[in-house]
Amino acid sequence: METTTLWAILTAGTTLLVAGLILFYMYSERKRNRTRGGMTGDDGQPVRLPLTMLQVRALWALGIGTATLALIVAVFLDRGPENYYAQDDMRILVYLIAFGGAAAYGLVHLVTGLRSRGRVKDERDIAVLHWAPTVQVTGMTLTLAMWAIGLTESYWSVGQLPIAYPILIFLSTLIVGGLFQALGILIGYRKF
Amino acid sequence: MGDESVIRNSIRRLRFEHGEMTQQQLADAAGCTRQTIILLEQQRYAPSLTLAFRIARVFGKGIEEVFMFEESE
Repeated sequence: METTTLWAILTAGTTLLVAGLILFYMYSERKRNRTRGGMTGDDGQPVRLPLTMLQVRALWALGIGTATLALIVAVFLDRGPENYYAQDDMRILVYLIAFGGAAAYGLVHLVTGLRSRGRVKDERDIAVLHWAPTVQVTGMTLTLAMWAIGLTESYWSVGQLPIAYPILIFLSTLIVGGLFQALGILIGYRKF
Repeated sequence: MGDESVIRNSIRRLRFEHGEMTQQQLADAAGCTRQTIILLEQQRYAPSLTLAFRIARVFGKGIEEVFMFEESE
């Protein structure tokens, strides 16, 4: 099997695994907030822990980020990374997916901001926001490590990289940065 | 040492003594989220000194009437 094909399979497999794990985490986070033991409301009855605005945004960011990443990987697996600069429509499609994801999250940001107008961010929110970059940096470092190892192994014999890769490294790191910041926020609310 | 110490509080009782104030009303008055109030009432979160003072002020009490520091043996 060609090294490039092997890395394509590995990339697709990793993306699917990460997407699956993220979706499972989203599900368990929703369930946990519904059933967290011992939580009672004003009437002493069990209560669903209300999500903070940051948690709502983080859940949406996870969903949108995972979908964006999966779509971009699917396009590259379908067309091949070597065609990125040869096929204009492929490049436009990738940019459309990336900016579409960003626009969708911008809309979520706007709507949640309007809905929670007047509600404050409290000290837990701020502590969580300060802690989330720990997870974000880990995710981004892992992504860069994967790129570095994958590209080195794939193109070692050629001695040079196709020009398409720098922008792909940038796009993927940007998306993964957003995804892992959202993960950091959700994990942070368990921590604080 | 000190790791098992907990900060207990009587927020729940005080809310009911203050005209059955809701968790959301207290959260709005103290400048925090309802989730934080719920966690405080369940003794699952130790507030900052600032938030503790704000909550005590909402009830018109001193901080030690609302929050009790319990050190482990």
